Amino acid sequence: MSSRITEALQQALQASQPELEAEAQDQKTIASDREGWTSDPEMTVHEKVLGWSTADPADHDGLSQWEGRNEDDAGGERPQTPALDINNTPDQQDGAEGEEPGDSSDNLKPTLPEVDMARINFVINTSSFSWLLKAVQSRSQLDYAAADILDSIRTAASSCLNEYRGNRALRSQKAVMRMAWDPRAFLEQQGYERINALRTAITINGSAAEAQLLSCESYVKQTWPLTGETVLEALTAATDVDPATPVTRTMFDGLQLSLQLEDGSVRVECSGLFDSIVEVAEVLSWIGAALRESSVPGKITHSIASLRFDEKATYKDSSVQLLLSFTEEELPSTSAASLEGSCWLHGFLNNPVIAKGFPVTHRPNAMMGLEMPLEVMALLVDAPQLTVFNNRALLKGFNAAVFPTAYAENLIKWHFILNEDGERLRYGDKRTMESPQVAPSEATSRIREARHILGWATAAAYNIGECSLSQFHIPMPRA
Amino acid sequence: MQAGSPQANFDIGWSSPDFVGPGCALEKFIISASPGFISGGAEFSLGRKEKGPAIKRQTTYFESLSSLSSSYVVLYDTLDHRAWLSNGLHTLLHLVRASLRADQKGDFSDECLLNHADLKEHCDVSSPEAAVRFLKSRQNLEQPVFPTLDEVRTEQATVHGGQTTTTHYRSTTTVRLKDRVCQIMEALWQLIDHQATLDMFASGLPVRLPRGKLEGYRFMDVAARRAIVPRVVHLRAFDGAGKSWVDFTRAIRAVTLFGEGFGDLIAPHSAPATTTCHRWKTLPKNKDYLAASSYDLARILRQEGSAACNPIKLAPGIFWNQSFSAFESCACEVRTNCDIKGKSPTDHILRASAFLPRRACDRVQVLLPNLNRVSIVPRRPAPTAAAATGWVDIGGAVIFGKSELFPWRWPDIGDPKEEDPAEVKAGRSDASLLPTDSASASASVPALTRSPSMSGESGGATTPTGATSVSLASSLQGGGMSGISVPSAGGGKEKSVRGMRKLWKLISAKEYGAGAG
Repeated sequence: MSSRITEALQQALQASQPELEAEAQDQKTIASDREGWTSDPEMTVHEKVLGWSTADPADHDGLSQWEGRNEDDAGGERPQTPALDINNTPDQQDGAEGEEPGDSSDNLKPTLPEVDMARINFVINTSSFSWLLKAVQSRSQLDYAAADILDSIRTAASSCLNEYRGNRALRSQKAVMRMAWDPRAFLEQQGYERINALRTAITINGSAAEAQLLSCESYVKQTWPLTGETVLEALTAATDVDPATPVTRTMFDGLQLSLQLEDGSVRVECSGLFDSIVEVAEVLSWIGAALRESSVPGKITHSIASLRFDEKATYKDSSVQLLLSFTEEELPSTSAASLEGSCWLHGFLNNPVIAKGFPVTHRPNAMMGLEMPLEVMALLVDAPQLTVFNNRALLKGFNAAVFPTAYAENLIKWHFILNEDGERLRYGDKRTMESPQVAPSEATSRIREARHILGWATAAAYNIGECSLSQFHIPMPRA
Repeated sequence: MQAGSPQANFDIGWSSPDFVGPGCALEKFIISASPGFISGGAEFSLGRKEKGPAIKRQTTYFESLSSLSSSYVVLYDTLDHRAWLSNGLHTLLHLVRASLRADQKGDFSDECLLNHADLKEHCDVSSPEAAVRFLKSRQNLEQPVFPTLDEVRTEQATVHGGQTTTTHYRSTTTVRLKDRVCQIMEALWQLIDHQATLDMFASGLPVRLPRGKLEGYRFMDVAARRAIVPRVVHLRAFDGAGKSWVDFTRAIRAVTLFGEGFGDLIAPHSAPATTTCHRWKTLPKNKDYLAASSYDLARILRQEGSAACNPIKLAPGIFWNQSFSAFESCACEVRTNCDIKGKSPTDHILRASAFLPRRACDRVQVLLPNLNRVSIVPRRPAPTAAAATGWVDIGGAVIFGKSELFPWRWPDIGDPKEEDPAEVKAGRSDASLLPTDSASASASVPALTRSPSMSGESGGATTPTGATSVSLASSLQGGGMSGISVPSAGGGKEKSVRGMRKLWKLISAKEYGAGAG
């Protein structure tokens, strides 16, 4: 866990360095009056952050030392500062300590560096630092291993921006993107009851094997906590405006974002820092990939986003012209060996797409299936309430139900059953006998607190109390 | 029918039957109190792409209601020792009304939002369709029952310059009558479905439970949405009379709910006083009788049994030999009239000479198991196609139990056995012996005798030739308050057919109001 946080912190620092520096410049005047801070007025916030864990503020390698201490120094103890306790949950702290067994004698225990509290307070009170924490938190919880499409979008956007920038030292750039996606047509097609359901629309992400279902808003918060909400809000506003006129928003780092619906597509203009433009491209590519339905009735397909130079661009100005386009591909055929975790692919949904190659919440042992909030699982089988029938929990609708097949400490694997003939499904249906028996009070509390993965599980693969499952302490993603 | 009717008594006592123990079918079966509705922090919108086409959504409420109509519940009054057979839909409404009544009396009655005057009731609240209309009414289903606490959500957003804005969202929700109905309906379905798993015919595992153990749940546990723990009532009292219908209720997989003071859930509503015997104006207490409306019996017969059988096969393994004595003149009335209206001693003498001692009228129907194991002589002509479907009046009711006229004993295990008539007579009090006229006597006395010839007479004998058979007797149809002379069993085929015609006319007169609605 700690290695993932470290890695995430490094990535986040790298990505947010320009923003932090920009804010540090703004804060210099204020900071100059502060005692202790004035000793090195040229330090950026980035440098100051890196300097926390070392006695010498100039030691930029502090982070790597800290990481090395975790891995190499058996008797070491991770310096605890409130600001770095990013997940702030007892479970995770326990887990981190659990990885560092051994002697806690005083002579092996490193002393906490002398840190100027004024500096710490200044840094942790900056909005840049809050954003940094959000980014680290997000990245530490997500599994980027299979996020190949996100990588390709990032690479393509960076490449295009870099290519356009050439040798010029541009602090700020302007890009124009055309999204081959019509939000109004999508809303009309789906028949949502809400007026503008872009925010609450359901999305499925990752891959058929490891998928995560979240509302659009929840997913952008989870994946792009710094920019996602603003982009989605702007898009929602642009969809509402009739006749279509540009909707402009300013992001936290000053990036100017303008969206306008145009001939069945969305025209996006953004000018700001390089990394921010790349991130906006990521968000928009995901939205366009996720908010659509499969072209095959009753079938789930992968939706794949791609970004390239817009060869048909008509905007003749100094901006980079990019095109976000989307293609569809069939899911890989399900072999007998990979049946596990796939029950949700048959009859549970109609014809959504899976926004392929975008990160999903990290899960242990690459457990297969569709992770989703409990209330959505209930909505989809039309179950009004959680029931514990004869010591077996289930969410039962009229002719469909889901029930747990395995309980882990904070993870529950569910199975979906359906009476395809439309007959009412009975409580106590023989198929539900696969569900482990648990006391009603225990079932209720565990279900409310756990993460939920829908996908048939064999008894051999997941048993209650198995160490392989129970050892994981993964924070519940906030839907 | 009063089950589900607003006129019924809903101050139902909780009752305190024993918990089930080892040897009970419902042992270890527990339905926890509903953890409640699921709600999360995020909002979701279902689009067309998410709605699995095979998963039913829009019609499920009405389909559930409709399915409930074909499920059955015994409401057993532990105070009055009598039982009512009702269908699931009427029982659901009865439970819902009881829950609303409990709301009014509870500690949070001041929070209750329901105005009963806003509920749309059918013009005839006792009719069977009244419950269906009530539960279908959108106006009723949308009535607020209780408020819930507002949900307050606070969101912080960071805007340009690092400033944050805080927005508070408050959403108000209300528990509506539909929520209450659905909540109780799901609990009821759990009981019904579990009962079905105990079905000896469906499961392939014959469950031979003692008849004397009537297992069920407390009515008020279901109405109050509490944890439902199985209970048991022992039907030993009243000479084991309650055991007489247990096979039937088990065969139709009926759930039993215990309560105190259900009131008269089935009662005559317009029977003339002159034709309604005072003993049967309401279902007698302390007899462990089971009253069932013809409305429900007709459906049970259609779905579980066969009207074409003779005797009628009411449910798998359950035969009902309808008796004409249920429709005969009330002898109690005859005696009363004689005592009061006799004008002279001569009149009394003349009348007395024509009278034979007879019993008080007995309207109880008897159900017996498989004809192959128990000899039964059919008591009615072979049914015509019309009679097979229209034998019962939709507004009528029937009482099942142990008849004084046709004494059978139901052991805990095994087939029922006929009691020795001599013992029964000896054990009967003189008060039940009444004078009667010859016609009436001939209707009832032969019914008590073993009569192999009757099988040929009634045209539809199913007992083996020469087998000893006994006529089952005494039933109450449509309250049985109508006094018709039932044809003599030994009076020949022609006379019997005339009597049957009178009977069908009487049944269709719809004199009795049966109850669950």
